[in-house]
Amino acid sequence: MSTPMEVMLIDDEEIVCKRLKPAIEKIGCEVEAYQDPKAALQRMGEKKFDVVVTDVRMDEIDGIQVLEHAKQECPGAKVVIITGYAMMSLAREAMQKGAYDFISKPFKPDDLRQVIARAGKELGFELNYPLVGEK
Amino acid sequence: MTSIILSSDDPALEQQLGERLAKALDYQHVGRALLAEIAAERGVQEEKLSRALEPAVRRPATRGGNLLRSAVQSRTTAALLADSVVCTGLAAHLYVKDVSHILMMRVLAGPEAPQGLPPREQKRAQRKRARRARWSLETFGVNGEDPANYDMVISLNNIDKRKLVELIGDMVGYRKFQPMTYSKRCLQDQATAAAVRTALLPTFPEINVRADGDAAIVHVRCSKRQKQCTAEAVKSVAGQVPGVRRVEVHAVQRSRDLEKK
Repeated sequence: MSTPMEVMLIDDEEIVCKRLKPAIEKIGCEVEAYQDPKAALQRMGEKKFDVVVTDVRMDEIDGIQVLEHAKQECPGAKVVIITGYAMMSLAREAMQKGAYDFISKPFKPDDLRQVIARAGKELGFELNYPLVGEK
Repeated sequence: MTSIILSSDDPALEQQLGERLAKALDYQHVGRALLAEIAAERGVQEEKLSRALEPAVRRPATRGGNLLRSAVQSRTTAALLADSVVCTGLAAHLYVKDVSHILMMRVLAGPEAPQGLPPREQKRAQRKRARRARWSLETFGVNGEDPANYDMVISLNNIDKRKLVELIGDMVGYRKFQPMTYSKRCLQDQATAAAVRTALLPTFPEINVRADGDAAIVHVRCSKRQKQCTAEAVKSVAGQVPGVRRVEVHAVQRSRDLEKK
């Protein structure tokens, strides 16, 4: 596949978007970062994303709502949940609702890149990132 | 893939169901055989390890017992890091906590209220259950008899073994029990903490250990005077455990402060 993988990043903390956007771009993805989840949902209606990375606790719209919306708007998209308030019940709920992965904060950018690269591989993209456990 | 921790009030049934389930699902079975390996490694009798995983009637908790339990915990959690495991007979339901890709099953061999037994036997069975609940709460902070700690509790009075294996096979396919980065990390942290605890217990009997990624956070009981040399000694031992790159040591002066950590 020659087109780059489209990734949407949603986190209401500016610093998280600022740090993660270039970290994901580094492996050859096109990244759109949003601090306002409402604007992100609107954008999902206009453009299809391959991977959506979203925080859980945000004002007005939470990550689970983003997940549900993404599953309707972009059914093929892999949704990765990132949260600083990880709990088993929340993790299971997210997985039940179709999340691709669930990561607790703080994490290293490499952890997220690994998950995105794995999602990309499943979607048929060739990313510039070696997957753990693969030669 | 999802793993399974299966426990029962009947150890023989637990082992039998574990083997059956592992065969049906093509999973690896981690059971009492692991005790023989741990016993050989540590130079202790296998029977001692078995006893450490059971409530004692008139035996108080000992330092040696804690170390043996910790050694079993360490090896069992490490074994669970592999995919597709059925674990039985190692009391894992009492110390593997909040790992969403591990299905916690409890199988009751006998009736919950054994009306069929004479009153004296009924009372004995109730006392045994109460003793086990108290022991698990004191030792691991979990009441092993509480159904709220399991994803599914099934009585074999109401369902046969073949159907039970089928049901569990269906459950492991549920999306909510699939592994994710978070749950794998939780389990890895528990395995690291158990390994660090096992390494420290012979020298520091009063400790509380947790792990967060490559960091081990150790609360150790010692006097104010010994704080610095204790911290250095803990760091030197814990730092040798595979996967530990940073050791944080907190000294506490009272045992009850350790329980709060």
